[in-house]
Amino acid sequence: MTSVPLRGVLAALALCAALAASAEGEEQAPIHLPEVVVPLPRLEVAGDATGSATVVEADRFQGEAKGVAELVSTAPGVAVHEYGGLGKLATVSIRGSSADAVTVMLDGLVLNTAFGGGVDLSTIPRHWIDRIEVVRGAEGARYGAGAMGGVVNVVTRRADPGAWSAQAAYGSFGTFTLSGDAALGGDDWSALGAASLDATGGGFPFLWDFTPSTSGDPLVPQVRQNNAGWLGGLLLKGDWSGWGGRFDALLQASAARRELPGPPAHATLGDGQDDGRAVTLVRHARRLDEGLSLLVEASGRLDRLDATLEEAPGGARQRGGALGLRAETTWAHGAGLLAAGASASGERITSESLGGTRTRPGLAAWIADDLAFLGGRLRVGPAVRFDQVGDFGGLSGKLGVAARLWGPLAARASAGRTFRAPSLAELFLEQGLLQPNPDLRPESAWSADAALTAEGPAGYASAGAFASLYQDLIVYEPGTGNRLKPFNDAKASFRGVEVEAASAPLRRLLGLSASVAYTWLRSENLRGNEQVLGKEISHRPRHRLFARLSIEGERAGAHGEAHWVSAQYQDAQNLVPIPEAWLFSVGGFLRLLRRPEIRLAVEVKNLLDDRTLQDGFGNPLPSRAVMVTARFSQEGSAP
Amino acid sequence: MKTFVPTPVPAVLAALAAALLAGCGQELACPSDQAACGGTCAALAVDPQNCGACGNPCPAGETCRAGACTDCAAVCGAGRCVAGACLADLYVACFASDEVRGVMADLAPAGPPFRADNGPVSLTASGGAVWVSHSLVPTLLGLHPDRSVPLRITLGGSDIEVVRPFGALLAASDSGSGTLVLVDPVRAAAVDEVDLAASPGQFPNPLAPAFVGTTGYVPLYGSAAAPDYAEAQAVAVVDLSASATCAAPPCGSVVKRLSLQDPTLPGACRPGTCDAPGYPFPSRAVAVESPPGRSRVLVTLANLKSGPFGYYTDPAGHGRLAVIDAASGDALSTLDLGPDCLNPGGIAALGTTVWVACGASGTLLPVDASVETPVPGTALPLPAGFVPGNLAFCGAQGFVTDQYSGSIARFDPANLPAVAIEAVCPVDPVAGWAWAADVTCGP
Repeated sequence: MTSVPLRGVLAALALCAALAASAEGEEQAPIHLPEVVVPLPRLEVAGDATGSATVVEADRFQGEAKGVAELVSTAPGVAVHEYGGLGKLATVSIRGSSADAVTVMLDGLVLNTAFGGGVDLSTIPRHWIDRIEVVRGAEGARYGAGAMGGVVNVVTRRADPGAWSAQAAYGSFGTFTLSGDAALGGDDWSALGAASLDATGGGFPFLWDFTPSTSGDPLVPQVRQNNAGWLGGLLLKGDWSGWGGRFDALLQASAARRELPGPPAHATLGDGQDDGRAVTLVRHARRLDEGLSLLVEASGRLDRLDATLEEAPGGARQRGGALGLRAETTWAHGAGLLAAGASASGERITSESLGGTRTRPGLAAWIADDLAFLGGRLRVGPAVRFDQVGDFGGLSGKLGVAARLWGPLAARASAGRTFRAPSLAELFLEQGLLQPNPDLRPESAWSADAALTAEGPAGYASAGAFASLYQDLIVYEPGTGNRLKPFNDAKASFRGVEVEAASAPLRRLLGLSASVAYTWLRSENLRGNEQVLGKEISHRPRHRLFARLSIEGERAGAHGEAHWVSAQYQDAQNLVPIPEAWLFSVGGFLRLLRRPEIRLAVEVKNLLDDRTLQDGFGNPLPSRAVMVTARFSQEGSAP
Repeated sequence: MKTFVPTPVPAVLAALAAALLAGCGQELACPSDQAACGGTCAALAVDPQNCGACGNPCPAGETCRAGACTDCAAVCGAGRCVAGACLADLYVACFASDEVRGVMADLAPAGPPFRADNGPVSLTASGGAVWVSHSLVPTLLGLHPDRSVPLRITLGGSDIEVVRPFGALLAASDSGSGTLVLVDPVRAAAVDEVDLAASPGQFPNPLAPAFVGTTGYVPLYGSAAAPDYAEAQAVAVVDLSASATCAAPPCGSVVKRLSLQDPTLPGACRPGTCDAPGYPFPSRAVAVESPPGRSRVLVTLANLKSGPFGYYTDPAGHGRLAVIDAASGDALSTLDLGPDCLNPGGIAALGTTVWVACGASGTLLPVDASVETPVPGTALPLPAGFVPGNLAFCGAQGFVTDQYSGSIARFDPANLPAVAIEAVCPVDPVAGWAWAADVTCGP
């Protein structure tokens, strides 16, 4: 590799990046310079070369019936909690965190609401995803307060003029999918439109033990009732280069109806919910001077939820909206690339259970550097950010180091600290068994990690270790009158190991490729009485494994996957274990035509038809499911 | 050219890990009346191993009172000293602090608390042990008054709301799974389990049963959710005659369901069991034999309507009793407990007088069950703010828990209206609350 003086690299980088902003599509292939890779607008992951991140490329799973939750769960360090499968609530935990402590974004726009409770990944339409970026660790300094466990950024497909696709799928339990997208463009603009509909009858068979304390009695065959649902989505995005810069705009809307079946021993046959979300953003990036660029962004989000709950006569009704403004400058100085910015936001939620309408303003300012030494072989990334979230303010910080060692080997390490402000639900929600606690304080988290990586023509491998410490965690405890109330009651540590590897396709072996992601997680309760002190946190299994083997030729391909989750505890005292679970899936495709591509695919989930699978919270998971997909697509003109 | 770059990564990692782990100390959170002694919480006022200070044991023959060692026999009575503590007259389940506390008849502590599992919610004495069921973990814990190692039995369900003796077995109401579990404490295992749901998915929510011979009467509280009320709220009559020798469960079965639904008006409650728009919500049962050979089962009916939080919490009218005549084919009648008894729950018998804890009116109501039609007596008002929960009679004295604190009220039915109140359960150090969930007499 040719050595390039650092100063020259960075100057060239800034210049090229700014030029790229006016010439290329958003999140198009980044500009590859000899030592540094930085696109503009910055990719969220690429913005921090020292971070612990996995990028899940959706192309790898093309034509497969996988939702956002399933794609995310292929990354190490991640646990997806699916409450019943088939379009039901799915939340993500990173390195043992709660769902509330993971910031979920769509094209960089935060989807977490001030209401709290994490983001339901099943509400994000899956068909137009380009990739999902998973960043692990206390990332508040880069992504804002709240990202204590990490960040999941769902990146939608870029507008590739001339490209289009249409897909239809049908399978078990009355599940079907229709989706389509098309992109147009000219010399200085491009646009993408996409729509999708997913629906399921949800009536899968399962086996249930209605007398769980006695062994030996037969399990009872059941069919899941009140489990249907549908999700519709729409995506419009475009870009235009002119007026000395580049404009990007995005509108994504989704609406869903889902029935809520409840646990088998407590069926809620009248429960259901309608929800919807619309997000929009407009970005403008321009070069101000040599080495200096500016990005400004305006965004908005509308959220809607109507729930019919037998347990809460009158149901629940939430309406919310958020507006945000953000500006960031990037400056290529002598030793690196400095980014500084500020944002202002406001969020408004209306719900009877919150006592009416609640608003929460937010302000933030940040500065982050990407310093390069030794000709770019050593990168240092300090970052600090101040967030004011309603009445709660605090600093987040991060320091990371990355170095290319020898040949394909590299190493990275980072440490960070951030906080999460109590949600409006935790502060004010008065509903059913839940009581509010307006005296809550923010939670905080420290994390540190390090990893060795190797990347070359044969593939990619990474092995690392991490440790996290959470303090003042907000947990619901039984309170007066048999109700539950949140308290800053918990302190916990998590440490573990993350390993991931993916081989490049071996052409001589029918395009054979393999990938694996493994996580070892050791959690420890650091606050409580003798009965719980030092015990593992509930629903945090020690081991998770995802492995995939695939072959892909010109005409056909096949894959097999295995998910393993080791035993875990369902209680704080570690008295009641939940057994380990294996899940196998297989699939294959036939390419009937190359251009436009016509592809027929089939996927079988829960191959062994284990009808006793549960999600750890007492909800049965689907039995064997078969989906057949027909996909028609045409690539665009972009390189 | 490939070159090796000296990197500070390992050093940075080591420094970070050291800094991180340095702040990882465990924090033992002790209840308000205890101190951390090493890795355990100790009640310095009454702990004979840590009397007045950590690591300060009392000599043999002495117990710890007010933080000082003193003669055990003088405090506990002759023959009532065990392991430096008194044999307790009654036991109290302290939900918030995960403890069971033994106390004397005057509500003074009998010794250091017993550790329980998560959310102790129900107590009963059986076979020389005090058995504890838990709301937040499906375990039964057998505590021995001599403070020997407790016996834990882990069940398969969730939320074991009530445990009661049934012959040599224990009967546990698994409210989460909707079953009545029969447990053999000798084998430390469940030997039988009866599904109480009328149909798969229905939520019966069984609470405190009573037994007449080998027949169980299980109040099914149902869910606080329409349209389940009418179907679910009932008293299940369960034949348990084969449970003690059950080899292939289920051996017990529901033989009758005494529905509290109006048979002529689906969705409405049976006349006399509630006032519209309320529902009965049967919760606790007691069996009374009067005259000898004739047993009746009395079940409290809360008669609740929807409250401000969307749950059925508010009285819809007077509290009621369901009266089931076991000697007459389980004939069901009802009794209006009057305006001085709202939202009744806890119930206990002293001879042929049944005492009912009326939560919303803050009263205890005696009901004479010796006569053909039980007759409510004069309500005993409790001090303002005391919300009576569960009842027990130990000797001639009555004890009742407060649903909103860790206090126990003591009363003498022969010397009314005097009531003494003592805080027994400590305040949780973080949540700042206490709850005396249940009380039972010592074995």
